[in-house]
Amino acid sequence: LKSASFSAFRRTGVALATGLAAMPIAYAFVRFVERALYPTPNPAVIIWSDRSAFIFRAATAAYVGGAAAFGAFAVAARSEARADSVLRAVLVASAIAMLITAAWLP
Amino acid sequence: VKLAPAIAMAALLFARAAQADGDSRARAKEAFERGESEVHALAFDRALASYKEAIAIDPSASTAGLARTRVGELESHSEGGFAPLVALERVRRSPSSTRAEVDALGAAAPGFPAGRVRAEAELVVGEALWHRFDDRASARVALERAVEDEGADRLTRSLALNELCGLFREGDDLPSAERAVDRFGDLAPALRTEIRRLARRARFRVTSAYFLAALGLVALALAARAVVKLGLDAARTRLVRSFDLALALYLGGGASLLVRARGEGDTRPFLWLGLGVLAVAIAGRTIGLSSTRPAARAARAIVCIVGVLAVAFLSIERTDASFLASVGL
Repeated sequence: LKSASFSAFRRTGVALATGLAAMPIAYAFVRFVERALYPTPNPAVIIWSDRSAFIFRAATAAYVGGAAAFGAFAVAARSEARADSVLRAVLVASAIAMLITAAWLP
Repeated sequence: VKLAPAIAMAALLFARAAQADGDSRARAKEAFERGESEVHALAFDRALASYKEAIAIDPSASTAGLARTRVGELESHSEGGFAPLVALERVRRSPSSTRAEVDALGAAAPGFPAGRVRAEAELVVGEALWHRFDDRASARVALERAVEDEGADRLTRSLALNELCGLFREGDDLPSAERAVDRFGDLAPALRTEIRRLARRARFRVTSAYFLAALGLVALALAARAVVKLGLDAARTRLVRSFDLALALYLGGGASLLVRARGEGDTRPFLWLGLGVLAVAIAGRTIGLSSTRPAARAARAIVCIVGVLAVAFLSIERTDASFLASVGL
């Protein structure tokens, strides 16, 4: 039982970590879509920008990250080793996404 | 003093010239107004002569520009000695023309000489039959003749194509609209793009609906077999997982909260998405119960992915299809 609890705890941790790591990727994607599809300012974004366009992008990225956490949990339930591999890959992609965001999609 | 007679003579000449100029302006205006009255009375041949007279009397009069436009318009509608234009204008100027009058114009129009009036008459007949008399079949015939009339001007044919596609869309006949824009799309490129997009969307809708219906039927059959084999409680435990419920709640509820936080967006697509994903997940688990072989698992994964895409498409398309336009659907 102790081992099972630990395993469930670890799966949840891996899932949360994957979700958090996915957020910068989602943020970069949202920013890219904004720049590619709305080269002129999107009226909705302008209206929202009275509050903060950044917060909306961050909230969207957080939502996508949450969905990624569910996916990672499902993977971890089948194979923790595979979930670890996925987490590593997502972390690398996340680092690249952050670099791209900082350099080209501020 | 010596120059006084010369100055007086010059003043007299200027006065005469001004008087002559004023006379010609008045006569030009009178000819122009006569032309307008004759147009009103459907006497187009006489109106054409009056407008030309107005221009000849004083080409620089304030009415000359308009007179030239009128001449151009009348000359471009003069086929058949203005008889077709008279027949057209009798119906066009009467918003309450009877069905018999519209039918008479519709019957006469194909016999008009080639030119602009023929297609304009077909367009007027088509619009009246559709909007006023709700006779779509006859309207379609008239509008198709207007679109196909190569002697007509491009604008009239383009308007007729717009009307024809509107008629098809109102009758949910997108394949016919797509055939029309495929054949005559050069007349209205924007309309062609729009109709093709709508046709693509309709094909996606039908495919998604059939796919989900088939998936639902297979899942129901497999679920019934699982209930028989395992019993109701065991089957329910294996098919309805709390993880799937949590995911559905997150997808639907989380996105709805996000939409609400942003403004007055429509939350329905996301609520349907959550429910749809839950249904696909349960269907996937019923399929998973039937076989655990790697090939079967891969097939199940593909079915579930396609199912989620179908659900996502239908959730948007059935609630607020305007979202789809931004991704070309």
